[in-house]
Amino acid sequence: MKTIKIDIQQYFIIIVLFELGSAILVGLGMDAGRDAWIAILLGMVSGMVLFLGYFYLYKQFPEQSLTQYLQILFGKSIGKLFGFLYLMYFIYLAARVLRDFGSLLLSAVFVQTPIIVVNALMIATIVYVLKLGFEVLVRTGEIIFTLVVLLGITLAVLVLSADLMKYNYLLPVLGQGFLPVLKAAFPVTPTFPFGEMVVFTMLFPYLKTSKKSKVLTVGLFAIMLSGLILSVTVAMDIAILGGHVATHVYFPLLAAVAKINLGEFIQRLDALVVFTLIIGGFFKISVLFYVAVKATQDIFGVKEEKMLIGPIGIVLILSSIVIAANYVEHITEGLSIVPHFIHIPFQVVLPSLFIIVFLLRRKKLKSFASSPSTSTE
Amino acid sequence: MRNRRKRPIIRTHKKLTDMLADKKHDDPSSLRSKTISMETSKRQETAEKVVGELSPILHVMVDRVKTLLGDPMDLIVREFEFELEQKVTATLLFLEEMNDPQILNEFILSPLMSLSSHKQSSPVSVDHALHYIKQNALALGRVLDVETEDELVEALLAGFSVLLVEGNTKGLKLGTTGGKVRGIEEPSSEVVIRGPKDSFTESIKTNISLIRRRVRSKDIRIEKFKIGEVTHTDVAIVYLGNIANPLLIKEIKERIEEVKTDGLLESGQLEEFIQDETVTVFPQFLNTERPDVVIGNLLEGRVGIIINGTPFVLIAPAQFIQFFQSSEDYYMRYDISTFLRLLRFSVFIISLIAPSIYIALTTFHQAMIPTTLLFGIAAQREGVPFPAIAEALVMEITFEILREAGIRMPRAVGVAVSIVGALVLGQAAVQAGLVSPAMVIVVGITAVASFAIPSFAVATSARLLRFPLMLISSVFGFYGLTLALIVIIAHLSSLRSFGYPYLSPFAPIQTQDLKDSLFRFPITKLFKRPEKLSKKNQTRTQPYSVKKKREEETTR
Repeated sequence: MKTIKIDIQQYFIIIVLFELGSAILVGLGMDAGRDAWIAILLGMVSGMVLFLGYFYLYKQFPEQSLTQYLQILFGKSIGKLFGFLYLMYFIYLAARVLRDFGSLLLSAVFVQTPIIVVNALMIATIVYVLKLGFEVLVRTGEIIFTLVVLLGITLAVLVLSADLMKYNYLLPVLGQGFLPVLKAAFPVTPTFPFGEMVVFTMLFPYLKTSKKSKVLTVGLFAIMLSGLILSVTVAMDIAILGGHVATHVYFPLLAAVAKINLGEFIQRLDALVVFTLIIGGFFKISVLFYVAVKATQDIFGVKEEKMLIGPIGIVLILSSIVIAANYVEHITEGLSIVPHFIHIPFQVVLPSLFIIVFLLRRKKLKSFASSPSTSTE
Repeated sequence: MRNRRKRPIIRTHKKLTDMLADKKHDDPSSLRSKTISMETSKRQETAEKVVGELSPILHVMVDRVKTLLGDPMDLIVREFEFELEQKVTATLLFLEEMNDPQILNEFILSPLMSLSSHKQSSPVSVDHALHYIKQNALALGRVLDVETEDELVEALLAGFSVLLVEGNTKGLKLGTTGGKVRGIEEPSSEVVIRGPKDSFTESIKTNISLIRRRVRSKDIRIEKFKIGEVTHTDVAIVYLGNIANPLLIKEIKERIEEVKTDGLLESGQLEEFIQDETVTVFPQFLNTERPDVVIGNLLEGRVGIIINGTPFVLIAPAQFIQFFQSSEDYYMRYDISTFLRLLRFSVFIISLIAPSIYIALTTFHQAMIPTTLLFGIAAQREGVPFPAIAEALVMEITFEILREAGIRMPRAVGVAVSIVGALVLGQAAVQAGLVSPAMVIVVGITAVASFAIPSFAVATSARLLRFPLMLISSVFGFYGLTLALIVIIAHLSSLRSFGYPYLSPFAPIQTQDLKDSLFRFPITKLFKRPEKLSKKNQTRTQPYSVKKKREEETTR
């Protein structure tokens, strides 16, 4: 079977696109009011700490993905159970992001279109791309990345030249002290999008690199870059809309960019943002989708991953619709339930558990882990 | 000149052959009986003779060739005699229009027929006549032995003349190929303002010579193949042995050798056989009729595939970005070249998505149109009963029809077509309220844009993709358009041309190669050949010494 190999620069691009994908759309850390951007930076730092944990696990099992080394760590049956939980998590994440995008499009453009149609079109696209292979997705990502960078720069220039930002909206910095910011930042902000890096535990083995340290530095750098972009974007949203409005709009970036009006000619650029967001969303869902496919393949021992793409696509379309009755419910779940009861267990608790178990069983595992690793080589 | 001289000669040929044939019947010389006995003894020795062996008896052989070829009217059988020890009968066979009569007369017939006057130092027996002639009498470069009937017939069909001598089981094929071929003209499909003005012709020999003349390298390799059970078309691959990747060469050879078909008339047919992916609208080979383009690509480690009978030479592997490059880019200053490349690329994008954007804007995203313009468009569309997509489809299809008609029509009628197209379909359709003027503009831009793409092959891809894009943006607006573009990008990045990623140097990114992609850096900065194509021999330009100091400052 042909193994996929990802370059280190491609890996960087996937992380950035993945992190920005849907996070740039919704207001992050908006509980902190006008200090949301600080909350994001805090989240970024703790996200980097989480990444260190994932990286530690990868270092111990450089040839295996998460669902594979769980089976070594806990033995076949319990490992598969944990793997299955993660599979559910990945599918849920993908469905959530899909729902986010479907809802955005419905509210922005297709007011009368049923959400299933919009979501199905997205999934159809992703199924096509994934059938061509993950490498194709990554290469598509490279081109998309260039496009997104160009669009981002254009938008930034336009925002700056439209003179929309009122910097006093950002003042006073930390007006109510550090505590509200901390409260807003933890535990929600690190989990989304930085903690979602947990999906990369599934992708690490495909990296084409001889130096493991590079994986760490490039990964951290990518997280930092995306964190900074997110933080600046949120600061920009607040400076344009004001802290109060920005925290209460579903899609602050959209609202902010919609205000651009240069000489009565360049206006209503929110469509351009939607375009960027579709691309980002496409990419994020694709990565989650692929990771779900990989997890399924490991757990159920399916030989051909292409067989799974269609069925999981259908699962995604349906689950994206049934996970919430309406958008308000969806967002509320996303803000209050998902981070505490889903993200934290899967991103923090379980990986820590894995590390602890690994440390405890290290000696036993050494003899155990060496046998599968030799068999794969 | 040639033309005028040819006819009378042929007539005399025919008369002569008739006369000789008459003579031959009542002239069963000892020679013949001798050879027959030789023949029979040989037969007995080898028990079963190979069927295709040449017969030493002239008229048997000639009859045999005639039956094999179906006694065609252009087969000339010229019998004559010359003297060695004794009189020897010989026959020259050739297909009339494929040979140069002047060469035949001056370098074959006349020296042979005047052989008797030569003083022979040692008497030559009839059996060695062929060898003797080859050594002494034929003032020609290409003289090769023919041993079987198949070889003989093949040689005739390839434009050689064949000399048979009574009593010999071998013949000689003589390189007297001639006949009319088109001269070297200016390229018709790739016109440049600055740059060489010659182009390939239909003859593979001329084409190879055009390349050879420009590359005086001992490393240039030309390998021949024959494709087509019926047509026996000559195919040659050209590459630079010290640059091109041997694995690539091996792969190309294997793919070409695998082609089994009856005929090969144009490079497009071979292209379809040996391309990597069939289900795609994008060309996977570059085709060109300019020798300088081929050589430029050879220098980058690519391979040229020349097919006899067509001036279009294939270049493999091809990258998407190459279709937006023109050879002129390297002859003009780098700044204007970069500008033109960017322009061509944007023109491709325009011709691909302009109608779709118009449809998406007017159907879904009216808010994005500046208000005054929106009023204008709304007012124009007020009287139009169709949705934007219907309007656009009607106009685009009309345009495609006009375009096709314009190509196939005789030139005189072509003017009428354009008048009908411009006036009746353009203006009248607007006045009749069938389409809005804005739509006509959009279609116009699309059309002009598609003509500005230098490569016809890739312009066709845009042409084909335009329609599905229009349909999807009429249903899903920009959302559908974005997803469709993602699909196109993904498809492009999945394509490979002989194993080389189609979208390189963009995906996967090759920083070094980006210098000569959408941009063209100054030629003094293009040090390397494309990274993946020429692994062993990367450096193409040494830093220009006059500027060396500055170079070092900037690169390090």
